Amino acid sequence: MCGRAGADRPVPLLRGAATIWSRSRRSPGAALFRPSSVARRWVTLSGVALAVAWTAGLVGFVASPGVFAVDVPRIEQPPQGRHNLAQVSLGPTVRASSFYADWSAHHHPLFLIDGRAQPQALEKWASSPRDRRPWVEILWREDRELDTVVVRHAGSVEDAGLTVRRYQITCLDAGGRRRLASALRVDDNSQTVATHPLHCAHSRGLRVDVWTEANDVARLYEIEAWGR
Amino acid sequence: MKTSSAVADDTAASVSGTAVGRCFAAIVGLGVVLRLIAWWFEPPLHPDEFFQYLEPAWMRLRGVGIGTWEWTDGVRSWVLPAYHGAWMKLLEWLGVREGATVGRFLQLHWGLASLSLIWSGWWGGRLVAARIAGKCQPQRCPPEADAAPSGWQGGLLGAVLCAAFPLLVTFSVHTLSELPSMLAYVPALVWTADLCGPAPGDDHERRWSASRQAMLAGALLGLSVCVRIANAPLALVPPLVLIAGRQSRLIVALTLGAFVPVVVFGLVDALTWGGFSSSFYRYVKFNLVEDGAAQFGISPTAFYLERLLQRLPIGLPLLALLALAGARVTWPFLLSAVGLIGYLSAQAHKEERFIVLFWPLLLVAAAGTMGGWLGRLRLSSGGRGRVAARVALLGAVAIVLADGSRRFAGYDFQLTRDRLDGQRWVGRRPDVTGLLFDSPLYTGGYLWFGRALPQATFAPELLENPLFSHVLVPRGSSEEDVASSAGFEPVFTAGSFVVLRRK
Repeated sequence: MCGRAGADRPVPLLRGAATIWSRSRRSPGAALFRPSSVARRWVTLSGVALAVAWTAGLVGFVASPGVFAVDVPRIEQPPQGRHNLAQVSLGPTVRASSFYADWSAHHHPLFLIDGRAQPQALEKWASSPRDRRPWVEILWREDRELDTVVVRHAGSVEDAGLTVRRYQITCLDAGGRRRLASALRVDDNSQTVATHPLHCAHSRGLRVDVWTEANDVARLYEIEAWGR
Repeated sequence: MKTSSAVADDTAASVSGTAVGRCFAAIVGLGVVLRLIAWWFEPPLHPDEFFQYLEPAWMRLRGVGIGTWEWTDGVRSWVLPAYHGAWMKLLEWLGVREGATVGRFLQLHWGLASLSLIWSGWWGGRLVAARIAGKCQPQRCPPEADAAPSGWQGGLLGAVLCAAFPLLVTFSVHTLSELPSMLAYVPALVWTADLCGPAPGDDHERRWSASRQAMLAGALLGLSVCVRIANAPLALVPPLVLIAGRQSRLIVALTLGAFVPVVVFGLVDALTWGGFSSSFYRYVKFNLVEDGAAQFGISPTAFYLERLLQRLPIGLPLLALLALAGARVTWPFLLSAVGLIGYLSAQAHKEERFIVLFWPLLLVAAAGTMGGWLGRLRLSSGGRGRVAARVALLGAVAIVLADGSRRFAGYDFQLTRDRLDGQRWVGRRPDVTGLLFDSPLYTGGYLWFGRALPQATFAPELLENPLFSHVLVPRGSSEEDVASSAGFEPVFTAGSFVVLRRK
């Protein structure tokens, strides 16, 4: 004689799953797996806890800002006199809104501070094509007195038309807070290597915001931050 | 005339449900052990397992990663990377931040998730076996007390084949879309087939119970197709099964269930790519309209048949004969398996991983047929003939497993693990500031490197860049010589690869 199915009323998918689960439990082949009520409760609670944790992870993943950030290890101690505060050997922190991460050529933000005098086309920071307001931050480890910022644009290596026209340089405090009062706005740049006097006492870094043309990306080869 | 419970009682005379349950538990245990072994030893199979479904999630989470053209052109759905991303975020909260460890966790996760295929094999094998043996089908006619369930022989054979078939075991730890699609399609087909036959209860109960099962099967079917669009033609098989089983009214429930994942995937596309189901349309346009996949290689039409025979030269004909012998019952599985090979053979670009779903479908069909025969033997044969038949059928299972274990490596792509080990080793160095390697295609991307530091393809001029502190290249290669001349020295060996560090 066939067993009777439960007389549940329809509630679509979840009830379907419950039906299949209860059917499988009624199956004598699964008799070995008929757990005690305590074990069943533990299994259920574990499953629910895992589902809740995964859902929380999903929310955290979706909410993640996805900002690039890297702390470069310090290779040498900073010199006494005036020097490039952003050089890679001093172990700065670099943050960026995005980077051009193509399969064969990813234009990594750290190329901005590699100090290369004659770089290859690869060795530049380029933003993602989907990034409409690209920015990059370079933070040094101690308070410094910044006096000059040098930006080596794409035009210094590639076509002059690739040079960024509009951008803003801002000093940063400890923790990356922007000193907007010190911001230097450049609206019609044509210099392929642009030198900008920018005085910031007790600064901890600088930020460059770039305004790109439609469907274009930001391209910068090097940023030097001179000070002591 | 025997009733179904009487049939079950016949089998219960010598085999109890508890004994069958213990066998099943042992098979699951075997499946766990084999997957753990595969997880430990199996090398990466294809660059896509990093760059299509892990690296995008890592990039979204950490802001660093390699973006392949599919993710630039919006050809992929974000659902599977988001699924992985949720685990990555959860692990990050638990303090697990190293990319390679996260990657290994996700491989293990899929290996364990693939254990669900054992359940599908059990259920499908029982279903086929019970119908071939002429018994009431499983789940609909549970026998009394501790009697073994009808079709249990087929169930156990299906379970053991799905648990131990070498190709399924090794494939289970690869983070590729073929795996979740397979894990969803097989139970969807089994549950749909289960709906075609006499059901218990009164009309109302039966109707709603069947509708619910059809909806869940539909949801799995939809998931299978959405995760892997190339499997979409297989979505036609379950409705055919329902029509053939005179259960056409359940097609509505099946379709309704399938709409759930379709809508979810469509909405995720709208949020991420700006258009409902846009990744689906772009995928179809690229692969079918423009035949874009052909640029990645064109194989002859018989490629898949040749590969299948290379994998299982003895076992495949055996499995096919067994499945065909029970074709009256196994046709949904056979149609899916043959249909998959058929329509994928018509496409120019072919890779063996595309047809991995073929195996569980064939295994379930063959296992069910064998189980059905074993069930009949219990009722009809004499002692010596019964033993001989049992030995023959179990020998067939052994042949299939042994034959499969001889050739379970060597897919179209077979990445060397050495390069990945070297990449991970460099990622763990505190003084690393950048890595040059011989090929980005065969690495584990930024996830496996675990650091947000630059990685680039080896070029002599890049050795002058102070960012690149380490080089990972094949031992004895010209790149190693060039790096040595430029002031790098060997610091680590990973099999056939060497890591050099700037002096």
